[in-house]
Amino acid sequence: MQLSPISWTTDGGVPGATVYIDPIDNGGFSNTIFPFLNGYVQNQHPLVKGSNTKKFNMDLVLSILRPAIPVLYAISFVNYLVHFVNPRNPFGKASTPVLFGTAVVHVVYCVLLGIRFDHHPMATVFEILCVVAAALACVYLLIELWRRSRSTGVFVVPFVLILQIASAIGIAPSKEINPLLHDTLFGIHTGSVALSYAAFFLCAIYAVMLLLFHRALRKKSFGLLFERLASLATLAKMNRGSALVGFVFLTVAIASGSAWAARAFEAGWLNPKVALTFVVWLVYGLALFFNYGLKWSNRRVAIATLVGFALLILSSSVVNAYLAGWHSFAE
Amino acid sequence: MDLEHLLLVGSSHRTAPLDLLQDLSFSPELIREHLPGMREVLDLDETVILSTCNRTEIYAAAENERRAAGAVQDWLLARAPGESGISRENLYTRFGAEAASHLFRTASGLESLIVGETEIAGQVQDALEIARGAGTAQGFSTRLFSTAFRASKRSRTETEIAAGTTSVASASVHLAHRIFGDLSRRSALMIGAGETGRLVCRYLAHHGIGKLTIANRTTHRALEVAGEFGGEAAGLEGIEEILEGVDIAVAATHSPTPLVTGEMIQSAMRNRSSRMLLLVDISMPANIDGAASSVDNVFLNDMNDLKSIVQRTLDRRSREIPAVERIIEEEVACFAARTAAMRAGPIIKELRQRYEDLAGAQLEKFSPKMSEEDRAVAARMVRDLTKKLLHWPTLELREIARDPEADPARIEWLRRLFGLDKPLSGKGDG
Repeated sequence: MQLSPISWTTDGGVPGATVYIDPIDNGGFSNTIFPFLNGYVQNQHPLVKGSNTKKFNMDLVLSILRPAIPVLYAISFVNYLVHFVNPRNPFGKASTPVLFGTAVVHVVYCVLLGIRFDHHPMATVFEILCVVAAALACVYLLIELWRRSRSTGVFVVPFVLILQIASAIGIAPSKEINPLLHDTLFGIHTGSVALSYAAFFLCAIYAVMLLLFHRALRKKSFGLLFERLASLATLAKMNRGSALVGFVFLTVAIASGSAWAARAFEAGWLNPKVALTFVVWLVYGLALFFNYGLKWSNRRVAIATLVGFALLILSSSVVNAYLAGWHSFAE
Repeated sequence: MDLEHLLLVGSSHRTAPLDLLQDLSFSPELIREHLPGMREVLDLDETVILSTCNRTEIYAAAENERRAAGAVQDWLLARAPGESGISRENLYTRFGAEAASHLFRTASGLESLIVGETEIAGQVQDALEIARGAGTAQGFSTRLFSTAFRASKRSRTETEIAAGTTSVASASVHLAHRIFGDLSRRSALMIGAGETGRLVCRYLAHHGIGKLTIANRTTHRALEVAGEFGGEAAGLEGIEEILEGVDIAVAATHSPTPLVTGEMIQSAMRNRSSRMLLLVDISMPANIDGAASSVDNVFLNDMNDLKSIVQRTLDRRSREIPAVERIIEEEVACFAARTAAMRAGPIIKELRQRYEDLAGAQLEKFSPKMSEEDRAVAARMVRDLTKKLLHWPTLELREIARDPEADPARIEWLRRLFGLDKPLSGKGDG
């Protein structure tokens, strides 16, 4: 991102400081901060003039939240790590409230981004990362509170942190936005996609943990993982629960996406990515059916959900990279 | 009473074999009986006796602690039967901070046979209560033992010294807990109603097992254990059928041949979909066929597996010892500082009394010249002024008392400075 410097001097003519501001929100920052400096700034910079105060305040909030959210996730990760190593440590016990607070701030940030950019914040990869990170944190919290087990947070929060750092580095308004991105149905579609991807990601993490736990029991390796992870039965429930959440949201995403695309694209809407998404939906659906209907073992369900997740990765990375069709909405 | 007057005489599993240690043990009734006379005869200010399976320790406070320690040793050895082989060599003696540190270590489980066991904290508390009841534990002992309880609590909450399982029976239930989590909706089968079986049942009941069945060769024994833990009793012939419905099965018998065969497990698993089954075999010789471990969704663990869990716990607890020792060091220092600060108590009290008496005398002297209202104002003013004037001398006195290297002459000098060595009616009293 290109940053523009603005310098000012104090009343006595002594050089003050230089602030570097984002050209997108330069006026906002200046208009908000300069009255606060109250006469200490020579408010003559061309970038400062003629700006919209209402929008600029939001820009200030966004410019604060952008680095603050990764920092909060980093604190939350340390909380979970401490809890994993020593569950009695009071700092570790603060992990859930800290993550909860961070997730709330993150969701607010996503909403503000949508208002500021004037479209659903799913137009660029950085916006998608931001929304998926928020969805991952929210779905994880949902599962954690449901099962009352915070021992898996140490494996989930780092991914949220990485996604959010990546998003914070590159997030900026797109130059050209497909006007269809303002559609409410599209918002439902993209929100559901983010939530389903987050749930499936979580499901994969639980599946790996479950298989590791299973292996530790078979190999009689009663180490740290055996002692600290949630019980095998709890991991199985978390694995199935997150698969179910992901499946429900993917169903909503497919339904809303199909309805929206049918309206938006007369030429047809089936492309490799959509086709592969159907396969993913089918794999998770079958895994859940075999588990609840045919009483598959926890281990088999875990493996099936990992296959589903591999297909999901394939649909969202390989297909996007090599078979890019219209499933992108910004430049 | 200062920390330096504290003494400890005792014997534990570290200094004497358990059979010799038994000769020194006291029942709670015996402790109640001995305490008052012991304090009188041995010229002790305060005393507490801690007697458990692995130790007998006498904590006492005496003006001459060295002389008292010798007398306590003689008294303790005289309690042992004549034919007992216990001698002075089996005893240990500690003084002052070392004695306090030993008590804190004991209460925190560092001196226990199984490091970190928590039962000792309750036994230490009982020892204090008995001594308080007998009137041989007063302020000093109460403060000392309260600090020991705090050290013990901190050790358990701030470190992992008491975490994990340390017996094969509790390790079996720990394993079940790690696999199934909440046991309240799970069912268990206990094969064997001997001592180990009963212990496993106790742990299962403690973890809130949903349903418990006890199968035994002799049904009346199974009924007895089932009655104790709210379970059901069964004969050994019903094992195969019961296995189909339970989540956990623990075998602890002395049967020479396996009671649970591989075929029984395979048959049971065919009728239970994909539900997991935990099998724990703590029998000697093994009572569950090893082939069960290859069956899908069955987790078979034997005595060696459980011993490895116990060993891991003990290793982990050993690693926590330095952290607990740091807590104990802090608590000993804190207790020493508080005890020392209390040395200043009598002189501070004397100083306040002297100033209040002086203020009272002055008020009395001038009260005929004042109205009722003025007298009330003057009384309040004098009281406040006294407090303010004594603030810094009080702090200084406490500081001197806390400093172990402080010259005792400084307190005497302060007494002289404030005229505490002179009568109230002396020159200058106004």
